[in-house]
Amino acid sequence: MIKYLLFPFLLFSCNTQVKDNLAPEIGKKYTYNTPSYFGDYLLPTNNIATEEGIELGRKLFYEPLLSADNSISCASCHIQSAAFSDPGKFSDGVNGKLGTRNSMSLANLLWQKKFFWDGRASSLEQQALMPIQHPDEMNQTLAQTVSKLQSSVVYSSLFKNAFGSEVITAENIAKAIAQFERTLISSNSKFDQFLRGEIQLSASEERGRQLFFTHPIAESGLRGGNCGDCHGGNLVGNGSFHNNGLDSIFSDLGVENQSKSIYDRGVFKAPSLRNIGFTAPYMHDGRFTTLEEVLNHYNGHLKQSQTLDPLMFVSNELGAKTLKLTENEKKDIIQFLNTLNDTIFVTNPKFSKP
Amino acid sequence: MKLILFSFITSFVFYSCSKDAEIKPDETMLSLHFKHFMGNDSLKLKSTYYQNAAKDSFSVSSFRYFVGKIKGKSSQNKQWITLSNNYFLIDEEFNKEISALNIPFQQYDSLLFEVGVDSVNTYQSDFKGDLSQSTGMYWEWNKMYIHFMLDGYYKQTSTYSRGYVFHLSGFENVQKVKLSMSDIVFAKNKLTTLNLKVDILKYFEKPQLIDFNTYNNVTTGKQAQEVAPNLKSIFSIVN
Repeated sequence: MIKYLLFPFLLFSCNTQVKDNLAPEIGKKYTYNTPSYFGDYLLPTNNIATEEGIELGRKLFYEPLLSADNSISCASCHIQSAAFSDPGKFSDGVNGKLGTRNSMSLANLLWQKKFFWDGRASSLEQQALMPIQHPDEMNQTLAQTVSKLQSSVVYSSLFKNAFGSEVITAENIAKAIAQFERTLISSNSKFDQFLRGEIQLSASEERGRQLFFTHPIAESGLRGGNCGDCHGGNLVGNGSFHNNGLDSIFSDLGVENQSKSIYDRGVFKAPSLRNIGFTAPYMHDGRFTTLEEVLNHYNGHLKQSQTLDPLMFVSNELGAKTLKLTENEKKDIIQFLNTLNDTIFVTNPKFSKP
Repeated sequence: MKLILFSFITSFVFYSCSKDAEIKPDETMLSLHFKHFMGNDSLKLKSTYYQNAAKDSFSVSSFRYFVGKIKGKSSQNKQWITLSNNYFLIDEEFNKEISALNIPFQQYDSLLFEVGVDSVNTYQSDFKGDLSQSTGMYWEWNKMYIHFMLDGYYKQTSTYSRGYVFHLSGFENVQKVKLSMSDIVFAKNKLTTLNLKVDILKYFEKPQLIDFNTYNNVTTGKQAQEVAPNLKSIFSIVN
């Protein structure tokens, strides 16, 4: 009996940093409010979130001074109504330049370990400075960015409040933006209400939920969409990387660009599908405009290549090379996908332009 | 009473996090290093094709498994002693070590652990650390962990490689692995590292011969029950 009482303590894991136990040197400590069913997360020990840091980060997120011609802010391509993604296939940079990948949704970033479609940033702090310097995005050096902000009296005092010094640094710009981005927690979708036991899903949504998460076994007739193997858990995303069969010949090499490994050719991040109804178009290049197109891709149009992920061979029919869901099953999955939309998140005034 | 007292004491040892906890006078330390092999060759992900006992040619894209419920059999009183109550996700790509467990100092005859997460620990999971839902090793649809994951490609024909997936799940498929430690000498206040060879080729051998035309998408159910016992024979201590 006693053994079982002690059980919760025995399971306490050693690989996990105790979350949020550090006090900031300056400012009022901010504690992220996260649902327990998202699991624990790691925070950087050298960027402790404060009210002041987040306020600054939010202002910077919406600040066009971060771009060469003062026309573009982070929020230009990460638009709140689109769950901080871009409804355009590609995003406009300065001087009318266009990017080559669809802007990723920003939500529940506390649980992400790698950022960008090719995972080239391993922290939000690192990520935040990259679009500023990218020639097709904001096209501005960090020195220019610091200098433009430093000449603003408002920013001098905001940086002093957040980091204790009026002297602005690129590092502190990144830290503040990252602090704000970590507050972008989406946990008020219908699916969340379901997870909290507050509501029931409709019959179609529930069938879709089961199909979405189930790994099918053709031999035993267990049917599933196998979506959860890459978009798994309550976050509806594992943060894993795959070639999901979009191409046989690749104009964008994906992770291979970073790793230089041919085994990463056409491999991209499997993003969280939270707010999927708000984040069209889909895939790294925004090639699909509707969820029906996405489901049809997995269901019958996978393109073969050397790096096509092993999970892509899983089917509901013996020997088949694609998923082979029925029309009704696809409809049910889309019904479930729309329970991932969080209207409170996309309208939350705390995340909007200050 | 003795048992209760013991669990009480060990609970604090593990709660306080074995890596950082100060070692007590009656304790010593144990690390487990997992070395992934294909026969005599170190496993190389993705780039290399291997041949299994059924003469199938195959490569490995990912190889991961849970190790938990680590126990040691005392040389003195032949009782099984808990060495760790945590679960550890061993992953060819990211982590192949269980580091510096604080364990009672004494000599041990055998090492026992489980591959996979049993029902009690699944139902009571706090989803923290390696048991997080976001590692891709937890399945929402059956509310179970994937005990053992081996994915890659096999040559269905000489020119066509097809993906294969072993995501072994199901409580009945958790496997107990017992290895002799009688040659290992534990010293007080000194870290002992056990090197465990994990031979993936043995997984394909016995008791169930695994050929990819029959077994290429194995999760739970009949096929999983047929192949899961093969996991027992893939581990050996090579210190």
